Amino acid sequence: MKWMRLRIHFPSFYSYRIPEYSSQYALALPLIAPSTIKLALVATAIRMSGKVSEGKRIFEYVKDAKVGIKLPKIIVVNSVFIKRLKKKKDQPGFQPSFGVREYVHFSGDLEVYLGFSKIGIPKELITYAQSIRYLGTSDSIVYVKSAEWIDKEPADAVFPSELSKLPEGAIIYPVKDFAKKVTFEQINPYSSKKAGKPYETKYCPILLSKRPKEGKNWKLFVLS
Amino acid sequence: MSEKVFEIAILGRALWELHSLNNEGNVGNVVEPRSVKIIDPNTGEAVTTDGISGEMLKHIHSEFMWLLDGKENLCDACKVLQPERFNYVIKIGKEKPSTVEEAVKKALESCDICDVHGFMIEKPTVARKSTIEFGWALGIPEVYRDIHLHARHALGEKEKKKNDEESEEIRSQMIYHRPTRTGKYAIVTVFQPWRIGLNEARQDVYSYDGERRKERYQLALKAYQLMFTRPEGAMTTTRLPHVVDFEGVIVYSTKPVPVPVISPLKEDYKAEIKKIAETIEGIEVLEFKGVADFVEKIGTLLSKEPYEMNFGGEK
Ligand SMILES: [Zn+2]
Repeated sequence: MKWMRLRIHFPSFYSYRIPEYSSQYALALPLIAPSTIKLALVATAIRMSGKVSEGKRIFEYVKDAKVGIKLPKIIVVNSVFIKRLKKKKDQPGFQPSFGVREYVHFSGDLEVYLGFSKIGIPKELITYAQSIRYLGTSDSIVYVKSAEWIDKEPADAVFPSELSKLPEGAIIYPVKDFAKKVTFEQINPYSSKKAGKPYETKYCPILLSKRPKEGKNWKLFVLS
Repeated sequence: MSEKVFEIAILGRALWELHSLNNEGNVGNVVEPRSVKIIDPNTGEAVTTDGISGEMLKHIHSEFMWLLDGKENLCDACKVLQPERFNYVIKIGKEKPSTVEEAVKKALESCDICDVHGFMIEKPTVARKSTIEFGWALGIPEVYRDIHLHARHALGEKEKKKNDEESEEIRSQMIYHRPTRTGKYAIVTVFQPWRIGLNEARQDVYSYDGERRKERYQLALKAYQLMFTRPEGAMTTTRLPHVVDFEGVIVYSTKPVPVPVISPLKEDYKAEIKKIAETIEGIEVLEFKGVADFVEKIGTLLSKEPYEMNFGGEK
C-alpha cells in the first residue's frame, strides 16, 4: 500500500455536521471523515481542471482508499446559537429561523493519511490535495501545508472501523465513507442517476487522557 | 498585460474598541456577547475569548459591496438586500431557467453580489459557492469585555408624568444590559477572483467577458477597504467600533496555487507565511501596518486582473 500524508491547518474554526444529525441542531465532528477528504479531492480535481471527467478519473483511485487521521493534542468544541434562513415547508422560499451549530478549534495541525492499494496513482493527486480550500462548512477555511508520499504505514494514526472492533473507553464518532460499490454518478450532485447507497457508516474512536471538561457552551478534549 | 490574480487572503490582527459587533442573543433584558473557547496556539492553554462569526463579517462585506455598486448590475433581490438573492428573482417569476446551468448563468450575468457572494436556488436546485469566505474572527487573548446598564424611558413619558403616580413612572422605565468589547481579533478571509463569473454547474465556462469580471473584482476589493476602515455590524447605531489598528499580510497568487492561510492567533504567523511564500512560485506577500497602509496595499491590487483559467473543455 502507498501512503499520502496531508498536513492540514485550520486558521480559524472548523465545522462539519455529524452524519444523520439535524441541521437545526448541528453537532460537529471533531475530526475529518473519510468521505469528506475523498469528496474534497474529487471536487478540487474538477474545479482545477474544469473537467468533470477528471473528477471521475480521480474518484476511481480515491474511492476505496484507507483514510487515517492524527489529531492534535487538544480539541475544543463550541456550541453556538445562530440565526439562519431555512426552507419553508410545502411552499417556495426561505424563512428566518435559528439553530445551534458546533465549531471546533484544534490546538495544532492535523495529519490525514490516505492509503492506496491501486497502482499507477496519477501524480496530479498531490497537486489537487494541496489545492483543497474547504473541508466542512464554507467558513471552515483550510490550508494544506503539505501533501507528500511516505513509505511506511502510519502507526500512530486512527482508522475508522466497525463498532465491534473499537477500543474500550474511547469516544466514538460515526463517520461516512464510500460504500464498496459506489459509482461516480451516485456522488455527483448534478447527476440524474443518484439511486442506491453511496455511503456506509464507520466509527472513529478518540482516546482521551482524561475526562472531557465542559462549560455552558463548550467541551474540551485532551487526547492521550 | 497586468498581473493576474488567482487568490487573495487577508490575514491580520484588527484592534476594535468598544464594539458589539456580534452577540449570542437576548436573555431577558440582557444581551449576551458571543463567547468562544479557543486553544491559544502560543501557550497551548484553553481560554475563553470573544468571537465574531464568519457570517457576520461576510454580511458586512456584502453590504459595502451593495453601497458601492451602481445598482444597475444587481438582481432584483440584491437591489433591496433581500437575503434570498437570485432565488427570489426566480420565485417571483421574473426568470424561469429550466436547467441548473442556465440558472447559474442568469444569476452571474445579472448580479455583482450573487456572483461574488454566492447563492442557493431551490428550483432547479443548485448552489453557487461564494468567492469570498471569512473564518471566525477570534479575540486574541485577552479581549476586555464589559456589560453596561442602561435605562430607557418610554416615549411621551414627560406628558404622562404630570398625571401619573410616581410608581407608574418607575414601571415605564426599562433597565437593560448591553455588552461592549475591546480587543485584538485574528482575521482570516480568502477571496478567489479566478472564480468570478465561472459557471460551476458546467465547470469550464465563464459567463461573461473580461471587463465585467474586472469590475466585480475591484468592487469586492473596495468593499474590503471599507469594511476594515469602518466595520458595521450589530448594534453599530450606538456602538460603532472605534477602529484603532489593523496590521498583517495580504497574500496573493499569480498562478493557480492556493495562498497560504495561517492563523493570526499565532504570534509568528507572518514569518510562517513569508517562509511558505518563498518556497512556492507565484505567491506574493504584502505586509501592512495600520488601516491606512492596508487600504493603500489593497489599492495596489486594483489595477491587476482576475485570473482566468483556460480549461480547454472536455475532449
Ligand atoms: Zn443578486
